[in-house]
Amino acid sequence: MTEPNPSPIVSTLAGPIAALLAESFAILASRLPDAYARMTALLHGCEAELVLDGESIDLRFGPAPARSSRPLPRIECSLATVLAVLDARLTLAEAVEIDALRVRSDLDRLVLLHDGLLAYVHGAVRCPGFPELLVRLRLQALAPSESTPHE
Amino acid sequence: MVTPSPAITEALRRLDWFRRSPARFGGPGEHKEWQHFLIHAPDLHVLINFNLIDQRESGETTEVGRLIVLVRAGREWVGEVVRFPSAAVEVAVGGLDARFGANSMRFVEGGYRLTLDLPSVRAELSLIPVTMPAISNNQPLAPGRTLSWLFVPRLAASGWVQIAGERFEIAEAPAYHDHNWGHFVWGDDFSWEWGSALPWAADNPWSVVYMRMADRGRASASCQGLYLWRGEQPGRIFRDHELEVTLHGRLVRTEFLQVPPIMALLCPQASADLPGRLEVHAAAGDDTVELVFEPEDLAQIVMPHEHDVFGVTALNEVVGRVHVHGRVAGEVVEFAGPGMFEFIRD
Repeated sequence: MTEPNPSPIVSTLAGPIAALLAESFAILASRLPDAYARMTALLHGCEAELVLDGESIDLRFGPAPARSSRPLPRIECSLATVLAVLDARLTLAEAVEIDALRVRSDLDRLVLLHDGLLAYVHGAVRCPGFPELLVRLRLQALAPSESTPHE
Repeated sequence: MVTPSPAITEALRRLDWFRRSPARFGGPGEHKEWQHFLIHAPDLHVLINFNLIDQRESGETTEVGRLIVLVRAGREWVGEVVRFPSAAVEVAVGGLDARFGANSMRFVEGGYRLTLDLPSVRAELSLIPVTMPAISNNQPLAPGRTLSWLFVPRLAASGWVQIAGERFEIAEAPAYHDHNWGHFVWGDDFSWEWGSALPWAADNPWSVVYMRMADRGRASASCQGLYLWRGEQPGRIFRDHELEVTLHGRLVRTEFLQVPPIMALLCPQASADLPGRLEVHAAAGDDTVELVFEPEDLAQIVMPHEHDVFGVTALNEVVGRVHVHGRVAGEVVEFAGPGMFEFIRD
Protein backbone atom coordinates (compact mmCIF):
# COMPACT_ATOMS: atom_id res chain seq x y z
CA MET A 1 0.00 0.00 0.00
CA THR A 2 1.24 3.45 -0.90
CA GLU A 3 1.51 6.14 1.75
CA PRO A 4 -0.88 9.01 1.06
CA ASN A 5 0.71 12.02 -0.51
CA PRO A 6 0.92 14.56 2.31
CA SER A 7 0.52 17.52 -0.02
CA PRO A 8 -2.10 19.90 1.31
CA ILE A 9 -5.14 20.70 -0.75
CA VAL A 10 -6.26 24.23 -0.13
CA SER A 11 -9.69 25.56 -0.74
CA THR A 12 -10.55 29.15 -0.01
CA LEU A 13 -13.79 31.09 0.29
CA ALA A 14 -15.13 27.91 1.81
CA GLY A 15 -18.80 27.47 1.09
CA PRO A 16 -20.93 24.35 1.20
CA ILE A 17 -19.57 22.89 -2.05
CA ALA A 18 -15.95 23.54 -1.05
CA ALA A 19 -16.67 21.84 2.27
CA LEU A 20 -18.09 18.79 0.50
CA LEU A 21 -15.09 18.67 -1.85
CA ALA A 22 -12.63 18.97 1.02
CA GLU A 23 -14.49 16.23 2.90
CA SER A 24 -14.33 13.99 -0.15
CA PHE A 25 -10.55 14.45 -0.35
CA ALA A 26 -10.24 13.60 3.35
CA ILE A 27 -12.39 10.48 2.97
CA LEU A 28 -10.41 9.36 -0.05
CA ALA A 29 -7.13 9.95 1.80
CA SER A 30 -8.21 7.94 4.83
CA ARG A 31 -10.25 5.13 3.24
CA LEU A 32 -8.54 4.63 -0.10
CA PRO A 33 -5.03 6.11 0.30
CA ASP A 34 -3.67 4.50 -2.89
CA ALA A 35 -6.27 6.31 -4.98
CA TYR A 36 -5.65 9.57 -3.13
CA ALA A 37 -1.90 9.23 -3.63
CA ARG A 38 -2.34 8.61 -7.34
CA MET A 39 -4.58 11.65 -7.73
CA THR A 40 -2.34 13.99 -5.76
CA ALA A 41 0.78 12.73 -7.53
CA LEU A 42 -0.80 13.53 -10.88
CA LEU A 43 -1.89 16.98 -9.71
CA HIS A 44 1.21 17.82 -7.68
CA GLY A 45 1.98 21.51 -8.05
CA CYS A 46 -1.25 22.19 -9.87
CA GLU A 47 -3.57 25.11 -9.06
CA ALA A 48 -7.02 25.86 -10.38
CA GLU A 49 -10.09 27.92 -9.67
CA LEU A 50 -13.38 26.06 -9.64
CA VAL A 51 -16.63 27.97 -9.81
CA LEU A 52 -19.59 25.74 -8.99
CA ASP A 53 -23.06 27.29 -8.79
CA GLY A 54 -21.30 30.60 -8.32
CA GLU A 55 -19.22 29.38 -5.38
CA SER A 56 -15.54 30.00 -6.03
CA ILE A 57 -13.09 27.37 -4.83
CA ASP A 58 -9.34 27.72 -5.12
CA LEU A 59 -7.55 24.39 -5.32
CA ARG A 60 -3.85 23.85 -4.85
CA PHE A 61 -2.15 20.49 -4.82
CA GLY A 62 1.20 20.58 -3.06
CA PRO A 63 3.40 23.61 -2.60
CA ALA A 64 2.55 26.85 -4.30
CA PRO A 65 4.27 27.02 -7.67
CA ALA A 66 6.55 29.88 -8.52
CA ARG A 67 4.81 33.04 -9.70
CA SER A 68 3.74 32.69 -13.28
CA SER A 69 2.44 35.11 -15.82
CA ARG A 70 -0.03 32.46 -16.94
CA PRO A 71 -3.54 32.87 -15.48
CA LEU A 72 -4.84 30.07 -13.29
CA PRO A 73 -6.97 27.48 -15.03
CA ARG A 74 -10.60 28.32 -14.40
CA ILE A 75 -13.42 25.80 -14.59
CA GLU A 76 -16.99 26.92 -14.19
CA CYS A 77 -20.29 25.09 -14.29
CA SER A 78 -23.43 24.43 -12.29
CA LEU A 79 -23.98 21.55 -9.90
CA ALA A 80 -26.75 20.48 -12.26
CA THR A 81 -24.10 20.03 -14.95
CA VAL A 82 -21.87 18.08 -12.55
CA LEU A 83 -24.79 15.75 -11.77
CA ALA A 84 -25.71 15.43 -15.44
CA VAL A 85 -22.18 14.21 -16.15
CA LEU A 86 -22.16 11.85 -13.15
CA ASP A 87 -25.52 10.46 -14.29
CA ALA A 88 -24.24 10.10 -17.88
CA ARG A 89 -26.93 12.40 -19.24
CA LEU A 90 -24.10 14.51 -20.61
CA THR A 91 -20.49 13.74 -21.47
CA LEU A 92 -17.75 16.16 -20.51
CA ALA A 93 -17.22 16.98 -24.18
CA GLU A 94 -20.94 17.64 -24.70
CA ALA A 95 -20.99 19.87 -21.62
CA VAL A 96 -18.21 21.99 -23.12
CA GLU A 97 -19.88 22.06 -26.54
CA ILE A 98 -23.16 23.43 -25.16
CA ASP A 99 -21.32 25.86 -22.90
CA ALA A 100 -22.63 24.22 -19.72
CA LEU A 101 -18.99 23.69 -18.75
CA ARG A 102 -16.68 26.63 -19.33
CA VAL A 103 -12.96 26.01 -19.14
CA ARG A 104 -10.14 28.50 -19.49
CA SER A 105 -6.70 26.99 -19.40
CA ASP A 106 -3.64 26.29 -21.45
CA LEU A 107 -3.62 22.84 -22.92
CA ASP A 108 -0.91 21.21 -20.82
CA ARG A 109 -2.59 22.10 -17.51
CA LEU A 110 -5.99 21.23 -18.89
CA VAL A 111 -4.78 17.73 -19.77
CA LEU A 112 -3.29 17.42 -16.30
CA LEU A 113 -6.53 18.52 -14.64
CA HIS A 114 -8.49 16.06 -16.77
CA ASP A 115 -6.17 13.21 -15.76
CA GLY A 116 -6.50 14.30 -12.14
CA LEU A 117 -10.28 14.39 -12.41
CA LEU A 118 -10.34 10.83 -13.76
CA ALA A 119 -8.03 9.68 -10.95
CA TYR A 120 -10.44 11.30 -8.47
CA VAL A 121 -13.42 9.52 -10.06
CA HIS A 122 -11.54 6.20 -10.09
CA GLY A 123 -11.12 6.67 -6.35
CA ALA A 124 -14.71 7.80 -5.87
CA VAL A 125 -16.24 4.71 -7.50
CA ARG A 126 -14.13 2.45 -5.26
CA CYS A 127 -14.46 4.34 -2.00
CA PRO A 128 -17.27 3.24 0.34
CA GLY A 129 -17.80 6.77 1.72
CA PHE A 130 -18.70 8.36 -1.61
CA PRO A 131 -22.29 7.21 -2.17
CA GLU A 132 -23.35 9.19 0.90
CA LEU A 133 -21.38 12.23 -0.33
CA LEU A 134 -23.19 12.00 -3.65
CA VAL A 135 -26.55 12.06 -1.87
CA ARG A 136 -25.47 15.22 -0.09
CA LEU A 137 -24.26 16.75 -3.35
CA ARG A 138 -27.69 16.09 -4.88
CA LEU A 139 -29.34 17.78 -1.91
CA GLN A 140 -26.96 20.70 -2.26
CA ALA A 141 -27.92 21.04 -5.92
CA LEU A 142 -31.55 21.39 -4.84
CA ALA A 143 -30.79 23.92 -2.10
CA PRO A 144 -30.95 27.63 -2.78
CA SER A 145 -27.47 29.02 -3.33
CA GLU A 146 -25.97 30.57 -0.21
CA SER A 147 -22.84 31.79 -1.88
CA THR A 148 -22.14 35.01 -3.62
CA PRO A 149 -21.27 34.67 -7.28
CA HIS A 150 -17.59 35.25 -7.68
CA GLU A 151 -16.45 36.57 -11.03
CA MET B 1 -49.73 -23.97 -20.01
CA VAL B 2 -46.30 -24.72 -18.56
CA THR B 3 -46.39 -26.48 -15.21
CA PRO B 4 -43.43 -27.13 -12.93
CA SER B 5 -41.75 -30.51 -13.17
CA PRO B 6 -41.29 -32.19 -9.76
CA ALA B 7 -37.93 -33.61 -10.86
CA ILE B 8 -36.61 -30.18 -11.92
CA THR B 9 -37.99 -28.59 -8.74
CA GLU B 10 -36.22 -31.18 -6.60
CA ALA B 11 -32.95 -30.71 -8.52
CA LEU B 12 -33.06 -26.94 -8.11
CA ARG B 13 -33.84 -27.11 -4.40
CA ARG B 14 -30.85 -29.41 -4.02
CA LEU B 15 -28.41 -27.40 -6.18
CA ASP B 16 -29.40 -23.76 -6.68
CA TRP B 17 -29.10 -22.49 -3.12
CA PHE B 18 -27.29 -19.35 -2.03
CA ARG B 19 -23.75 -20.10 -0.85
CA ARG B 20 -22.82 -16.66 0.53
CA SER B 21 -19.37 -15.54 1.52
CA PRO B 22 -17.37 -17.65 3.96
CA ALA B 23 -15.64 -14.41 5.00
CA ARG B 24 -18.65 -13.71 7.20
CA PHE B 25 -17.26 -16.39 9.53
CA GLY B 26 -13.55 -15.73 9.08
CA GLY B 27 -13.15 -17.75 5.90
CA PRO B 28 -11.63 -16.61 2.62
CA GLY B 29 -12.88 -13.36 1.15
CA GLU B 30 -13.17 -11.91 -2.35
CA HIS B 31 -16.31 -13.98 -2.75
CA LYS B 32 -18.84 -13.16 -5.44
CA GLU B 33 -22.17 -14.76 -6.09
CA TRP B 34 -25.00 -13.87 -8.40
CA GLN B 35 -28.39 -15.15 -9.50
CA HIS B 36 -28.93 -14.14 -13.09
CA PHE B 37 -32.07 -14.21 -15.25
CA LEU B 38 -32.68 -13.39 -18.91
CA ILE B 39 -36.15 -13.02 -20.40
CA HIS B 40 -36.93 -12.53 -24.08
CA ALA B 41 -40.22 -11.36 -25.48
CA PRO B 42 -40.89 -9.72 -28.84
CA ASP B 43 -39.29 -6.24 -28.62
CA LEU B 44 -38.34 -6.81 -24.99
CA HIS B 45 -35.19 -8.27 -23.43
CA VAL B 46 -34.72 -8.25 -19.66
CA LEU B 47 -31.63 -8.99 -17.57
CA ILE B 48 -32.02 -9.29 -13.79
CA ASN B 49 -29.06 -10.04 -11.54
CA PHE B 50 -29.16 -10.32 -7.74
CA ASN B 51 -25.57 -10.33 -6.54
CA LEU B 52 -23.58 -10.48 -3.32
CA ILE B 53 -20.00 -9.31 -3.33
CA ASP B 54 -17.33 -9.06 -0.69
CA GLN B 55 -15.99 -5.61 -0.05
CA ARG B 56 -12.82 -5.19 1.97
CA GLU B 57 -11.85 -2.07 3.87
CA SER B 58 -9.41 -1.58 6.74
CA GLY B 59 -8.98 -5.32 7.16
CA GLU B 60 -12.73 -5.95 7.43
CA THR B 61 -14.77 -7.81 4.83
CA THR B 62 -18.43 -7.03 4.41
CA GLU B 63 -20.85 -8.62 1.98
CA VAL B 64 -22.71 -6.09 -0.15
CA GLY B 65 -25.99 -6.77 -1.96
CA ARG B 66 -26.56 -5.22 -5.35
CA LEU B 67 -29.23 -5.56 -7.98
CA ILE B 68 -28.48 -5.06 -11.66
CA VAL B 69 -31.37 -4.66 -14.08
CA LEU B 70 -31.18 -3.98 -17.81
CA VAL B 71 -34.20 -3.78 -20.07
CA ARG B 72 -34.18 -3.28 -23.81
CA ALA B 73 -37.62 -2.24 -25.02
CA GLY B 74 -37.72 -1.65 -28.75
CA ARG B 75 -34.41 0.06 -29.41
CA GLU B 76 -34.14 1.76 -26.03
CA TRP B 77 -32.29 0.50 -22.97
CA VAL B 78 -33.04 1.38 -19.40
CA GLY B 79 -31.31 -0.04 -16.38
CA GLU B 80 -29.45 0.55 -13.20
CA VAL B 81 -27.16 -0.91 -10.60
CA VAL B 82 -28.53 -0.46 -7.10
CA ARG B 83 -26.58 -1.09 -3.96
CA PHE B 84 -28.49 -1.93 -0.78
CA PRO B 85 -27.53 -1.33 2.83
CA SER B 86 -26.98 -4.59 4.71
CA ALA B 87 -30.14 -4.00 6.76
CA ALA B 88 -32.16 -4.13 3.54
CA VAL B 89 -30.70 -7.45 2.36
CA GLU B 90 -32.06 -10.80 3.48
CA VAL B 91 -30.51 -13.91 1.97
CA ALA B 92 -30.52 -17.19 3.87
CA VAL B 93 -27.65 -19.58 3.22
CA GLY B 94 -29.02 -22.78 1.75
CA GLY B 95 -32.19 -21.13 0.47
CA LEU B 96 -33.28 -19.80 -2.89
CA ASP B 97 -34.92 -16.66 -1.60
CA ALA B 98 -33.47 -13.17 -1.48
CA ARG B 99 -34.83 -9.77 -0.58
CA PHE B 100 -32.98 -6.63 -1.61
CA GLY B 101 -35.09 -3.76 -0.31
CA ALA B 102 -38.48 -3.96 -2.02
CA ASN B 103 -37.05 -6.31 -4.65
CA SER B 104 -37.07 -10.05 -4.25
CA MET B 105 -36.35 -13.42 -5.73
CA ARG B 106 -38.24 -16.39 -4.35
CA PHE B 107 -38.51 -20.01 -5.34
CA VAL B 108 -42.16 -20.98 -4.91
CA GLU B 109 -44.01 -24.06 -6.16
CA GLY B 110 -41.29 -25.00 -8.59
CA GLY B 111 -40.78 -21.56 -10.08
CA TYR B 112 -38.78 -18.39 -9.54
CA ARG B 113 -40.84 -15.34 -8.58
CA LEU B 114 -39.09 -12.06 -9.22
CA THR B 115 -40.32 -8.72 -7.95
CA LEU B 116 -38.64 -5.48 -8.99
CA ASP B 117 -39.47 -2.09 -7.56
CA LEU B 118 -36.77 0.27 -8.81
CA PRO B 119 -37.01 3.88 -10.00
CA SER B 120 -36.54 2.84 -13.64
CA VAL B 121 -38.13 -0.63 -13.70
CA ARG B 122 -40.96 -2.42 -11.95
CA ALA B 123 -41.81 -6.03 -12.62
CA GLU B 124 -43.63 -9.11 -11.37
CA LEU B 125 -42.41 -12.25 -13.08
CA SER B 126 -42.84 -15.97 -12.68
CA LEU B 127 -40.25 -18.19 -14.34
CA ILE B 128 -40.99 -21.90 -14.59
CA PRO B 129 -37.93 -24.03 -15.39
CA VAL B 130 -38.56 -26.43 -18.24
CA THR B 131 -35.05 -27.94 -18.41
CA MET B 132 -32.95 -29.67 -15.80
CA PRO B 133 -30.06 -27.58 -14.44
CA ALA B 134 -26.38 -28.25 -15.09
CA ILE B 135 -23.78 -27.59 -12.42
CA SER B 136 -19.99 -27.26 -12.60
CA ASN B 137 -18.01 -26.76 -9.42
CA ASN B 138 -14.66 -25.00 -9.07
CA GLN B 139 -13.81 -24.46 -12.71
CA PRO B 140 -10.46 -22.72 -13.29
CA LEU B 141 -10.97 -19.01 -13.87
CA ALA B 142 -7.58 -17.35 -13.39
CA PRO B 143 -4.37 -18.47 -11.68
CA GLY B 144 -5.44 -19.52 -8.18
CA ARG B 145 -9.08 -18.64 -8.87
CA THR B 146 -12.09 -20.80 -9.55
CA LEU B 147 -15.70 -20.19 -10.43
CA SER B 148 -18.67 -22.50 -9.93
CA TRP B 149 -21.83 -22.26 -11.94
CA LEU B 150 -25.26 -23.69 -12.33
CA PHE B 151 -27.46 -22.92 -15.28
CA VAL B 152 -30.99 -23.67 -16.35
CA PRO B 153 -30.97 -23.39 -20.14
CA ARG B 154 -34.67 -22.70 -20.49
CA LEU B 155 -37.56 -21.39 -18.47
CA ALA B 156 -40.96 -20.02 -19.39
CA ALA B 157 -41.50 -16.48 -18.08
CA SER B 158 -44.86 -14.85 -17.47
CA GLY B 159 -45.89 -11.61 -15.82
CA TRP B 160 -45.26 -7.96 -16.54
CA VAL B 161 -42.48 -5.40 -16.77
CA GLN B 162 -43.07 -1.67 -16.49
CA ILE B 163 -40.68 1.02 -17.63
CA ALA B 164 -41.39 4.75 -17.88
CA GLY B 165 -45.08 4.11 -17.36
CA GLU B 166 -45.28 1.58 -20.20
CA ARG B 167 -46.31 -1.91 -19.18
CA PHE B 168 -45.28 -5.01 -21.12
CA GLU B 169 -47.22 -8.22 -20.58
CA ILE B 170 -45.21 -11.43 -20.92
CA ALA B 171 -46.74 -14.86 -21.45
CA GLU B 172 -44.54 -17.96 -21.36
CA ALA B 173 -41.63 -16.14 -22.96
CA PRO B 174 -38.28 -17.95 -23.38
CA ALA B 175 -35.97 -17.30 -20.44
CA TYR B 176 -32.62 -18.42 -19.03
CA HIS B 177 -31.14 -18.59 -15.53
CA ASP B 178 -27.69 -19.08 -14.10
CA HIS B 179 -26.13 -18.91 -10.66
CA ASN B 180 -22.41 -18.34 -10.19
CA TRP B 181 -20.16 -18.21 -7.17
CA GLY B 182 -16.46 -18.12 -6.50
CA HIS B 183 -13.52 -16.17 -5.14
CA PHE B 184 -11.99 -13.66 -7.54
CA VAL B 185 -11.64 -9.94 -8.15
CA TRP B 186 -12.37 -7.84 -11.20
CA GLY B 187 -9.01 -7.27 -12.84
CA ASP B 188 -7.78 -10.86 -12.38
CA ASP B 189 -6.30 -12.58 -15.41
CA PHE B 190 -9.50 -13.86 -17.00
CA SER B 191 -12.27 -13.05 -19.42
CA TRP B 192 -15.30 -14.96 -20.60
CA GLU B 193 -17.88 -15.18 -23.31
CA TRP B 194 -21.14 -16.63 -22.12
CA GLY B 195 -24.34 -16.88 -24.11
CA SER B 196 -27.82 -18.29 -24.06
CA ALA B 197 -29.63 -19.18 -27.28
CA LEU B 198 -33.31 -20.09 -27.30
CA PRO B 199 -35.94 -20.73 -29.94
CA TRP B 200 -38.88 -18.40 -30.28
CA ALA B 201 -41.02 -21.44 -31.01
CA ALA B 202 -42.14 -22.97 -27.71
CA ASP B 203 -42.53 -26.39 -29.30
CA ASN B 204 -38.93 -26.52 -30.50
CA PRO B 205 -37.20 -28.87 -28.02
CA TRP B 206 -33.69 -27.42 -28.28
CA SER B 207 -32.00 -24.97 -25.91
CA VAL B 208 -28.34 -23.95 -26.12
CA VAL B 209 -25.75 -22.44 -23.79
CA TYR B 210 -22.31 -21.38 -24.99
CA MET B 211 -19.35 -20.57 -22.76
CA ARG B 212 -15.69 -19.83 -23.27
CA MET B 213 -13.23 -18.93 -20.52
CA ALA B 214 -9.97 -17.26 -21.50
CA ASP B 215 -7.13 -15.19 -20.13
CA ARG B 216 -7.58 -11.44 -19.80
CA GLY B 217 -5.89 -10.75 -23.12
CA ARG B 218 -8.04 -13.43 -24.81
CA ALA B 219 -4.90 -15.03 -26.23
CA SER B 220 -5.82 -18.53 -25.07
CA ALA B 221 -8.99 -20.22 -23.89
CA SER B 222 -8.81 -22.43 -20.81
CA CYS B 223 -12.12 -24.17 -21.45
CA GLN B 224 -15.11 -23.85 -23.71
CA GLY B 225 -18.36 -25.66 -24.22
CA LEU B 226 -21.56 -25.78 -26.21
CA TYR B 227 -24.39 -27.32 -24.22
CA LEU B 228 -27.49 -28.53 -26.03
CA TRP B 229 -30.58 -29.52 -24.12
CA ARG B 230 -33.34 -31.50 -25.79
CA GLY B 231 -36.55 -31.03 -23.87
CA GLU B 232 -35.86 -31.38 -20.15
CA GLN B 233 -32.60 -33.25 -20.54
CA PRO B 234 -29.09 -32.67 -21.89
CA GLY B 235 -29.03 -33.62 -25.56
CA ARG B 236 -25.38 -33.17 -26.43
CA ILE B 237 -22.44 -31.40 -24.82
CA PHE B 238 -19.45 -30.38 -26.92
CA ARG B 239 -16.33 -29.44 -25.02
CA ASP B 240 -12.98 -27.74 -25.59
CA HIS B 241 -11.30 -29.14 -28.72
CA GLU B 242 -14.70 -30.14 -30.14
CA LEU B 243 -15.47 -26.45 -30.66
CA GLU B 244 -14.10 -23.95 -33.12
CA VAL B 245 -15.07 -20.35 -32.39
CA THR B 246 -14.60 -17.51 -34.82
CA LEU B 247 -15.41 -13.84 -34.39
CA HIS B 248 -16.08 -11.70 -37.43
CA GLY B 249 -16.27 -7.97 -37.94
CA ARG B 250 -17.07 -5.47 -35.24
CA LEU B 251 -20.26 -4.38 -33.53
CA VAL B 252 -20.24 -0.60 -33.78
CA ARG B 253 -22.66 1.44 -31.72
CA THR B 254 -22.07 5.12 -31.17
CA GLU B 255 -24.25 5.22 -28.06
CA PHE B 256 -25.26 2.58 -25.59
CA LEU B 257 -26.26 2.32 -21.96
CA GLN B 258 -23.52 2.02 -19.37
CA VAL B 259 -24.25 1.28 -15.73
CA PRO B 260 -23.53 2.57 -13.18
CA PRO B 261 -23.75 5.82 -15.19
CA ILE B 262 -20.72 7.38 -13.53
CA MET B 263 -18.57 4.64 -15.09
CA ALA B 264 -19.19 6.25 -18.49
CA LEU B 265 -16.54 8.79 -17.44
CA LEU B 266 -13.99 6.00 -16.98
CA CYS B 267 -14.90 3.63 -19.80
CA PRO B 268 -15.28 5.44 -23.14
CA GLN B 269 -17.94 3.85 -25.30
CA ALA B 270 -15.57 3.43 -28.23
CA SER B 271 -13.71 0.74 -26.33
CA ALA B 272 -16.37 -1.97 -26.54
CA ASP B 273 -14.34 -4.19 -28.96
CA LEU B 274 -17.12 -6.63 -29.77
CA PRO B 275 -17.66 -8.91 -32.76
CA GLY B 276 -20.21 -8.22 -35.45
CA ARG B 277 -20.85 -11.96 -35.67
CA LEU B 278 -19.86 -14.99 -33.61
CA GLU B 279 -19.80 -18.46 -35.07
CA VAL B 280 -19.37 -21.71 -33.18
CA HIS B 281 -18.72 -24.90 -35.06
CA ALA B 282 -19.02 -28.00 -32.87
CA ALA B 283 -18.27 -31.50 -34.06
CA ALA B 284 -17.75 -34.84 -32.33
CA GLY B 285 -18.29 -38.19 -33.99
CA ASP B 286 -21.25 -37.90 -36.29
CA ASP B 287 -22.74 -34.98 -34.40
CA THR B 288 -22.25 -31.47 -35.70
CA VAL B 289 -23.82 -28.18 -34.69
CA GLU B 290 -23.32 -24.66 -35.99
CA LEU B 291 -24.36 -21.66 -33.93
CA VAL B 292 -24.36 -18.18 -35.38
CA PHE B 293 -24.93 -15.18 -33.14
CA GLU B 294 -25.59 -11.86 -34.82
CA PRO B 295 -25.36 -9.03 -32.27
CA GLU B 296 -27.87 -6.22 -32.55
CA ASP B 297 -27.22 -4.00 -29.57
CA LEU B 298 -25.41 -3.83 -26.26
CA ALA B 299 -25.40 -2.39 -22.79
CA GLN B 300 -22.42 -2.36 -20.48
CA ILE B 301 -22.02 -3.10 -16.79
CA VAL B 302 -18.71 -1.54 -15.85
CA MET B 303 -16.79 -2.76 -12.80
CA PRO B 304 -13.76 -1.04 -11.27
CA HIS B 305 -10.75 -3.26 -10.77
CA GLU B 306 -10.36 -4.20 -7.15
CA HIS B 307 -6.59 -4.55 -6.81
CA ASP B 308 -5.64 -1.33 -8.53
CA VAL B 309 -7.09 2.17 -8.54
CA PHE B 310 -7.33 2.84 -12.28
CA GLY B 311 -8.55 -0.22 -14.24
CA VAL B 312 -12.08 -1.18 -15.23
CA THR B 313 -13.70 -4.28 -16.69
CA ALA B 314 -16.74 -4.05 -18.95
CA LEU B 315 -19.36 -6.78 -18.98
CA ASN B 316 -20.90 -6.29 -22.40
CA GLU B 317 -24.46 -7.58 -22.48
CA VAL B 318 -25.12 -8.10 -26.15
CA VAL B 319 -28.55 -8.92 -27.46
CA GLY B 320 -29.05 -10.40 -30.89
CA ARG B 321 -30.36 -13.16 -33.11
CA VAL B 322 -29.15 -16.73 -33.01
CA HIS B 323 -29.48 -19.42 -35.57
CA VAL B 324 -28.59 -22.99 -34.66
CA HIS B 325 -28.56 -25.92 -37.01
CA GLY B 326 -26.96 -29.35 -37.14
CA ARG B 327 -27.55 -32.98 -36.42
CA VAL B 328 -27.33 -34.81 -33.10
CA ALA B 329 -27.80 -38.57 -32.81
CA GLY B 330 -29.30 -38.55 -36.26
CA GLU B 331 -31.85 -35.88 -35.37
CA VAL B 332 -31.95 -32.49 -37.03
CA VAL B 333 -31.28 -29.52 -34.74
CA GLU B 334 -32.69 -26.31 -36.12
CA PHE B 335 -33.96 -23.12 -34.59
CA ALA B 336 -33.83 -19.36 -34.69
CA GLY B 337 -34.46 -17.13 -31.75
CA PRO B 338 -33.16 -14.59 -29.28
CA GLY B 339 -29.74 -14.66 -27.71
CA MET B 340 -27.98 -12.65 -25.10
CA PHE B 341 -24.24 -13.05 -24.90
CA GLU B 342 -21.93 -11.57 -22.29
CA PHE B 343 -18.45 -10.55 -23.41
CA ILE B 344 -15.95 -9.46 -20.79
CA ARG B 345 -13.50 -6.84 -21.96
CA ASP B 346 -10.87 -4.86 -20.08
